[in-house]
Amino acid sequence: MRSWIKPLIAIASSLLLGALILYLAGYDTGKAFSAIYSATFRNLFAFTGTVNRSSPLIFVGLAVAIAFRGNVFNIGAEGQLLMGAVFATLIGITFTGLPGFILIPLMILSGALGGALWALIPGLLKAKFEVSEVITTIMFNYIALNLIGYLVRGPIMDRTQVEPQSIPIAVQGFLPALIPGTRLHLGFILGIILAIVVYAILFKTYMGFELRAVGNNRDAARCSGISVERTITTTMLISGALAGMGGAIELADIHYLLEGISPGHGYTGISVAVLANSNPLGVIISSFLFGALSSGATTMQRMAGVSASFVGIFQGLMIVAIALATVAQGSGRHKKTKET
Amino acid sequence: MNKGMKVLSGVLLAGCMAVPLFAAGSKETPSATAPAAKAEELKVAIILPSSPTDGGWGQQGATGIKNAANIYKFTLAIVEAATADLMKRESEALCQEGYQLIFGHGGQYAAPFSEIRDLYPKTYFITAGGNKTADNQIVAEYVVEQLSYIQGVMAAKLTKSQKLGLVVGGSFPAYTKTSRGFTLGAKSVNPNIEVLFAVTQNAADINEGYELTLSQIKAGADVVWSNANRASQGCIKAARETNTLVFGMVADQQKEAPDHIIASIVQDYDILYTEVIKRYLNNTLKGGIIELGVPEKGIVWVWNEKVKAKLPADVVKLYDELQPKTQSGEIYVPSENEGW
Amino acid sequence: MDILMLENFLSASVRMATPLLIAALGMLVSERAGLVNIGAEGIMLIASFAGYAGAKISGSYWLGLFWGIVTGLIFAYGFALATIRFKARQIIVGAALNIFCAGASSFLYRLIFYGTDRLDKGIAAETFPSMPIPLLSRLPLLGQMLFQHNILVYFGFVMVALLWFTMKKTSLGLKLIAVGDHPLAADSLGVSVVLVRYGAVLFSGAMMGIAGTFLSIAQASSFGENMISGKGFIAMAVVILGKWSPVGVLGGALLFGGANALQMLVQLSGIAIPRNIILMVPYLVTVVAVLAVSRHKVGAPRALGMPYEKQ
Repeated sequence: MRSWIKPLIAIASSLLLGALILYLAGYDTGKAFSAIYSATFRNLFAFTGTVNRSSPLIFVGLAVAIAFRGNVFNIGAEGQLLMGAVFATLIGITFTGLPGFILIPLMILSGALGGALWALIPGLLKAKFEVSEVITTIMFNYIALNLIGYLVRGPIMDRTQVEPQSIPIAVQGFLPALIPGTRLHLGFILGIILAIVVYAILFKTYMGFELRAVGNNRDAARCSGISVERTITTTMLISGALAGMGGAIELADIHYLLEGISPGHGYTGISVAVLANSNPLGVIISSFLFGALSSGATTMQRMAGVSASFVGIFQGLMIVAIALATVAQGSGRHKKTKET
Repeated sequence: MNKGMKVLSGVLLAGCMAVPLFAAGSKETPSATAPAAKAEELKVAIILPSSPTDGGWGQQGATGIKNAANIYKFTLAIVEAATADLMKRESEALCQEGYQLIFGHGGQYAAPFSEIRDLYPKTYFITAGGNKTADNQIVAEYVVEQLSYIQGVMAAKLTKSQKLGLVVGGSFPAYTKTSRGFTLGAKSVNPNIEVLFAVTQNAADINEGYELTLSQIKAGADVVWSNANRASQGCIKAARETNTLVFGMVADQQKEAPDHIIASIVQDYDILYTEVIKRYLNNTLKGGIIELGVPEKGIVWVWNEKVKAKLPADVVKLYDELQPKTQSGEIYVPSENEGW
Repeated sequence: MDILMLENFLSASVRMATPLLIAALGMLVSERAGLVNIGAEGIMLIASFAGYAGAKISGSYWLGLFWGIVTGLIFAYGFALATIRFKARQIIVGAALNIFCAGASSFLYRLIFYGTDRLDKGIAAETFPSMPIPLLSRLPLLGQMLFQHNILVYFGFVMVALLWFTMKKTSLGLKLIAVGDHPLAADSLGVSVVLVRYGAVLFSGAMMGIAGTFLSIAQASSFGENMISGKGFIAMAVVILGKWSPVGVLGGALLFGGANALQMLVQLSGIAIPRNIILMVPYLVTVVAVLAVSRHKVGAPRALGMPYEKQ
């Protein structure tokens, strides 16, 4: 039961600190918090809205979490998500004759492929040459962003639109609404299923064991015969695939590709994973929390006049709190491998 | 991670799912919008693509609608949504809450609005710029390009190097209609005039605006112009530093460079918002295009008196000479949706 | 392409390299001591806001610079406290800093400037003026490129020389390197590892403050939300590219500044390469360069990223 006390304390203390800042800045704290609450729990439509917002977060959260478990800092979830969206777009605008129940899974799988490919090079570079994945993945994020910029202004540009965006995917590729009267789509539910799968892989399979062993102590793992290179590469591939799927689903929801398709989901995924202590099942909850915060941000702006960017303050405080709590409890894994 | 945690996650998740069923006052159905007969019942929302305090486009929208709110005293919500998914979600959330008028400050809202407007037939969607109209969707066109034509003519008369520098914030019609107008005006004086043209990658990047205009000035441009949202701040700085004449756009920018701004074209968004609300309350609001030009006081030419005093008289006269002709069409300046 | 365009390109390269250079020099020092702060992006952002606010409200860009440095120091101290004293994981604290500072800078900007009269005279704040160096600035090509800038650019050059000298020739420099490579050995020789680390992080905070302030009140004249646009991360790459040496960092910063300026040059000369492809170049170059550097396995401080446990 102890493993959830840490995140809970982190959330509570950061909310309190945030409330204090709001109060000192002269805002109506009660209104602000009730706005955040009502943004999700007001009614079913709002609730499903938050669930949808949490959908990309659960995918990138899982991606970052599984990478963390392997002591790989995948800051590139953003770029992998973007490439997943790119691949899904290409499928969605090419195979316009396929029925929905084939096209949508095909798009999601292509998204996984795109994300995995995008993580492959940084993964190989780290595995074989010990090149810092922090740097390479961040660089790849920007390369992916510019790739989208190029595509939507050139080869797949929709010239009937005001802003640079791609031609829309086939109608069968639009994600259907699961509950009539709402816009709930399968994203978060798929995410939950994947979270359980990732959990099973991590803790119930030999591959997961290898992954965690390399994450804990690379040299010891190597000594016991585990191929560190292969494991690190595989970790990045799985991580990238997860992020890519998240991107594909976003694409299928928005219906066309554009530069601003991700407002930084990949970076939020780091917060999601950290808050969940890199536990896949915890990611389910923490991604929902961040989704709720995100929904709350605009409502808070509307009802209490607090700028929407304030949730960044909440997020940042939470992560610092968790980082401190991890050390304080002494239960942090003793890393014998350098983190660069 | 133990069984306890798994159970807890399941319970929390189920709990979250159940709460909205108990949410009090759950009333919304998609077409709950009741038309407002009086201003007090009116709920108006504006969606901005950037912060209401960004000193550029977003701020113009916010100021415009707030002025209307001061006159008509309706309920106002200011929402920020810059990416396509957020545009749809936020506007739908607003429709669900019964907002009757939803403004999108920018042409990029036209497409997302067009995807949801049929679900909310009693709600009016108005975009500033854009290319999609319907019974309940309206495009407000500011025919700024007519006045930038005049700026171009004046620039061509003032330049000694026969080189002009232009920077816009994007390569799509909302921006390029103005640079096109400017260039047409300049070429009407000297068909061989050299117009150096650049597009900012990021219309919020002030440094980029600065560098682009500076390179144009260094390449010989002695009159410059920019329509690049916040990046224009950088363009004006470059002009100020190098003692170059510059034309302003969007807002009265003479404060930024009192000795170098010749004249600014101010787009008065108060007019748009006030006019639309007035028509709605009078039951005369119809779908389609609302054109806002000089007679409607939507666009205003603002001289910088300090610099005007130093200009040759025949240049100053040009405004009064040419403005009626561009307005009537005697001089044809193609608008946002024409001539591409 | 004529000589004027070339001159402008070189001069713009230096200008765009400066914030990267200054930030990277700061990060170089802190990484040499063993601490990697990916929160540089966030610190630069909030420092650029502080610099702008200071200059706007007081009317003096020196005061703006002061507040920028102070802000950088404050947040760097927070980072140092969390990672040195509390031994929290550096990457996580850094990521938290990025998120927090992005939110805080936007929040504070609106709080201080929205709905008040502070922007009534315009948004532009007082900025650092250009200070051409007499005689030298008249040189062809090099004159424009190196000697016609504002004081912060010259500061960058001076710091490269200063740091090179310090690290190679002074005992302080040796201590810094020792702490990052073999903290245990340094400790046993009487060097206070903790003190050196704190000092290094604080220095890097001041440098990030200067770099951020440069972006808001030297190159531009206002603050824009999220205006750093990834330059903090690129500075990290510059440190690796430069193999953790001041002169190398200078080269890396110029490379990136040049690539950025190249993008504008291509636009103006009308060559038909899509802008986005050109913009990819600096990032691709970094990946290749980082790979090339790693094969020689030199440079990285050996204890980089590991909290120091006093035995």
